[in-house]
Amino acid sequence: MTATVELDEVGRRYGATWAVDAVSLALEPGVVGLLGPNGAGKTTLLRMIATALAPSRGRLSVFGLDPALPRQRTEIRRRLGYLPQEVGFPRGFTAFAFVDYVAVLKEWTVPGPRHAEVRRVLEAVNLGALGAKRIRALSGGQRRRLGLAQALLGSPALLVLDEPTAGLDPEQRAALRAVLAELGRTALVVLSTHQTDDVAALCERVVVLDGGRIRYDGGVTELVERAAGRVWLADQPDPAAPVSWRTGTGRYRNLAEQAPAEAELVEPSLEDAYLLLRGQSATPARAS
Amino acid sequence: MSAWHVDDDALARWVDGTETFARAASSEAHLLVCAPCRTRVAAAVRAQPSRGERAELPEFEAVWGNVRDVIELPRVSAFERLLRRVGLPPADARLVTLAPSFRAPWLAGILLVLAFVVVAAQFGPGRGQAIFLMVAPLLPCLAVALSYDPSIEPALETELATPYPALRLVLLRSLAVLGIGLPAAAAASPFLPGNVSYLWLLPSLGFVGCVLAASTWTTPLSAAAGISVAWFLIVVGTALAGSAHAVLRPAYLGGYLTLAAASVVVLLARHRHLRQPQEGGGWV
Repeated sequence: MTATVELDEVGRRYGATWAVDAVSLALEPGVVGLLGPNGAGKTTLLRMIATALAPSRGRLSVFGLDPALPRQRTEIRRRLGYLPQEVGFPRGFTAFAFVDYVAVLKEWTVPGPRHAEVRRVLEAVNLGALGAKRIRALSGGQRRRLGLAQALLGSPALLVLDEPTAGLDPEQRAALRAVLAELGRTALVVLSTHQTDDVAALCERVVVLDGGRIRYDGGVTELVERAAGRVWLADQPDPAAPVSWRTGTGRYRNLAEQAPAEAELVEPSLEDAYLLLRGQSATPARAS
Repeated sequence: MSAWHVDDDALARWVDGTETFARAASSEAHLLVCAPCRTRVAAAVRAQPSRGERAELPEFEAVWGNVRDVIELPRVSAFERLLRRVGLPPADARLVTLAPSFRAPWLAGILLVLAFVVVAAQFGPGRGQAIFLMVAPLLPCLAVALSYDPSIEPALETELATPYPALRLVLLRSLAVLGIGLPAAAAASPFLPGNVSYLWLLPSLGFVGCVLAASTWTTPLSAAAGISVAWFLIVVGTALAGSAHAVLRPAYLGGYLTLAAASVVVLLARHRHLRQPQEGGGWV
């Protein structure tokens, strides 16, 4: 059976630099999180999956279709919702007018059903009462949710979301997680984020990118387990630890192979596991 | 609270709207101060036998939907109505008039033309004509380029991932820009010093076609910039050799028409390569 999204040795080059280099993935319905530092290639990878950018090499297939072929690309886009990292809003528009405009581009040609769908997605991101408000009068978090609303039009089978929780307050993030978790039951949701707790709360699978290459691809639980036995709370920072920081309690969280003096072993979090992975060699690793 | 209460029949008549004015006023005055009677109003409304047969009470959802329509739906502009009247499907008409980058370019184009008419008028017939011919034919192609260039269009990344055909979008916007820009520019011509015929519209048409065709290789704005530089040199050269008006000689006019026709052929043949080269090239 064909995966919803398949990448086979896909790469994307800007000048002499490979932003994404020989990435191979097969993604099935569910919520998949992309983690990685700035410049890791997350946005480039998402743009290729969203058919906004052509790979420089390799084979990309979405719904078993080839985005290099115009007709198949159009068919992919009919089943796709995409939230770019930075949504350019025509600021004179109202929230409703913007989503309505994208809905027309997404082939919602009949006004009645289109307006109902626009209202549905605005309600889904808790902007139902702000449809008539000008975009320039919306807060950053509200604009982010507006960008997400247009991506939800038509309940797409593939949602590509580049940092959907950026700029949202904790309450909004929780509400958004609920929306995405529900979507992930039937659709493939691929999201990038810098928030490891978003990934821990939402995703069954996580892909860690660094330098355009996959450093980890597997379950969230498996990644967390890799850090088991290597997270220590101590009164002093451990000079030997690759990563160490002072927590809110005044104690130091040390990520180290060996126990620091008078340290207490604690349960690892996804953030610990991610930081440990980042601190390791650049050798690609797989969970299974 | 009083000991007297509105009796059932009077309440039913008040609810039904069949009570006399004086008795209705009396009942209303009592209802304002009597909570027990007020609680009977809802039951009296439900008990109205004629309710189902009267004019249907509007559904709340429908009323609310209509109110939201009035508040939320973007208003249909006169230009959108015009586009629908000339046969454009409503969704396409909406797309053209709502296009984020649409309004500014054509407004700027019209203002520029008017500004150049004023400027050209200060230089007398010879130089005035040269300035006008240097600028006016380029405005439509610049407006078209601006209406679909990645550096200008704020929502382009979002638009890129939709199934709407890029060629159709480009042509719709181009036609809309031309539909407003060309008549405005043409209307300004008679106010120029000297005699500048409307023939300048022909190179203008050729340049617009050229921008669209060149957009299958590069960005619309780069194409328009290249054309602008070339045209500027041609007009200056012609003006130095005698009169700038020579660029509208019959021999040249045929060339402009050929350019327009060839551009259409190229655009149709290569429309699948229409692209917005963001950071090195993507699909449209």
